[in-house]
Amino acid sequence: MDDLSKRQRRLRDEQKIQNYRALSSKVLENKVNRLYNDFVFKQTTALLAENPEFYTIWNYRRDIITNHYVPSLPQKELISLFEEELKFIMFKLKDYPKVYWIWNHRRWTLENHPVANWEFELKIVSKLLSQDSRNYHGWHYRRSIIKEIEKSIGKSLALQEFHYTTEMINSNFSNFSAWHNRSKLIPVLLKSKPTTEFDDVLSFLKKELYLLKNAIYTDPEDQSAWIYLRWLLTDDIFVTSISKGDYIEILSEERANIKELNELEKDDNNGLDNNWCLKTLVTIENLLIRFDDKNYQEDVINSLKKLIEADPLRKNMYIDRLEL
Amino acid sequence: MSLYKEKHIQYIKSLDTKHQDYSYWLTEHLRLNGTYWGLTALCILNAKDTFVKEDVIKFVLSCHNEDGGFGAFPQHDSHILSTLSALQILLIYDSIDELPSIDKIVEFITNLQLPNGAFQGDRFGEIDSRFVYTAIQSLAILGKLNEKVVKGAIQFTTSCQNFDGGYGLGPGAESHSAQVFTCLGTLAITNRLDLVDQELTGWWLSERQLENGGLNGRAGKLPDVCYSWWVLSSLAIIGKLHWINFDKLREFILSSQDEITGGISDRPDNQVDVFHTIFGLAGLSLMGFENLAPVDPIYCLPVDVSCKIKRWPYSDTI
Repeated sequence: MDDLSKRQRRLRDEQKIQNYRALSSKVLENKVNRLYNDFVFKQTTALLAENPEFYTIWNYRRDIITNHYVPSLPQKELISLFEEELKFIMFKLKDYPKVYWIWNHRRWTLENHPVANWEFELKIVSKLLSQDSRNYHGWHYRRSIIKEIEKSIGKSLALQEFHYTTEMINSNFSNFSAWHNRSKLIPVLLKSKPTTEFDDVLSFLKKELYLLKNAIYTDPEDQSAWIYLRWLLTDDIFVTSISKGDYIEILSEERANIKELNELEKDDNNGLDNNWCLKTLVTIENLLIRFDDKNYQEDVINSLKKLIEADPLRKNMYIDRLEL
Repeated sequence: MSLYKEKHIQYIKSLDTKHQDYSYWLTEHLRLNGTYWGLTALCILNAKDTFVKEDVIKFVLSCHNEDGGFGAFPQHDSHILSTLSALQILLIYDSIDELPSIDKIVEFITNLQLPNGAFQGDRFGEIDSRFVYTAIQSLAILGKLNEKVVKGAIQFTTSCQNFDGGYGLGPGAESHSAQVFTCLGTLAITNRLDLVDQELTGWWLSERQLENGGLNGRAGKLPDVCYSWWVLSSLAIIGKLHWINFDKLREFILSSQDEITGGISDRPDNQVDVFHTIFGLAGLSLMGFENLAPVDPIYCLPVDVSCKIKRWPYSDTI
């Protein structure tokens, strides 16, 4: 930047700072004086438009709504005020999708809305997640909306949400947020059994393993599916509801599948093992040692030794496991 | 590559002089937190005296509100996050007794606890396992933990645990390294690390390290210097610090420094800020590099400060 444009920028900044500080001190003064009216409400809009992270002003805004609008506006006008508020927040969220304070204000606004439309909110969050499929706030918000809808209709939406995770996973196998959510829904569904798909734990587990096989073969380097696989093979939800014989058969089948995948990977990678195959083989073989007295100790030791070389970032973890 | 210690000290020192920058005014809502980050970074750099103690304490006390809590700036509302920053700063300066009334602060904090044991951040109801940790550390600094608060905090924290060994911001939420730190921190302060599946949690944490040495916050995400703290401190709390590669992480942190202005950014070639500066330095300290002052993984305070905190369970309550 040359000197002239630097000077111009400085001047512009000076003006901006002056305006911002003047507005900010006016609003804070009104807040101290507990002024709650239309005029100060609009001032908070202007200030938050400039700085949506100014949490104290979101607080003040909520107090204005509660103390001024809620007691004074007729129902119809109050509803449109809340609708306007939701639009204002959405506008801010588009620019600042990770700001906790804005998400928090949206939650508050819906919770205090005279006739909150949670179904519409679900559509909005679905749209957001379709554009930013890992947004941490988005997923968290989605779960809270689902809870609200379930409360109001008196019915579980676990099945619908389960299908939603399938959709998200099918469009991108590496979406761990979706795998995670699935892990929270399955226990509910295996208990409530809304369709025959969930009647039998063993056949459900087999179907789930098949979906996972697809994901893993598509990208064997991606950790999302591997982390989820570990859950399917170890959680009590599955382990204690199927017979020991079936469990051992599943573990043995998975072991064979992964060994086969590892061979394919080796062919593609100059004879190098796939690290996730090795890690998962260690997990499965340890389970088979524990549950079926299998003699896989040597295999586990060999895999760990290979991992010390092949996955040097986590070398010490494998060394600790060898010494166990 | 080396650590530009002197540059970082100058960078932190300069932060409160940037009145000509618009962003200085837009970040008032983080000022108290920022002061804690800056001061702790200076302590780690063995340069605590860079800030003028009397000025900082005066500023902290000017953020104290009538409800007993602290806002991030004078006239800003109280929040549990800024309240912890205030207490941490006062503890660093051995000045807890400058507080007009400890009971009032304790009341502010304990009133934020909900029936399920969680803490809301302020009276508007946002719930997050971060706030549980923040409340528990605040009470620990004041020596005012009690059975009821601790029991609820443990109950809520364990309900945030996931199948992968990580913890989320609330029950049902996906595992996230920063939340793992706050949850393990809560369980460490309340002396219940036995409730953690340490092998599984350690494994999930170690898988946060990527080929370039940096750590990420969740599966499949980009690395960021701040996770050098969230992941490392968590590993340290469960005694598995060595489960990631130190040299590669050190390289990642050092390459995120700005050699001209000082300061550390989230990843190489980005804009530096005090948040990433403290967490980069704290990570290096935990790994024992660069002759930095040792930092306590549970409290994110210099060890010679955290040692002043009374450990739970209190012997006089048994």
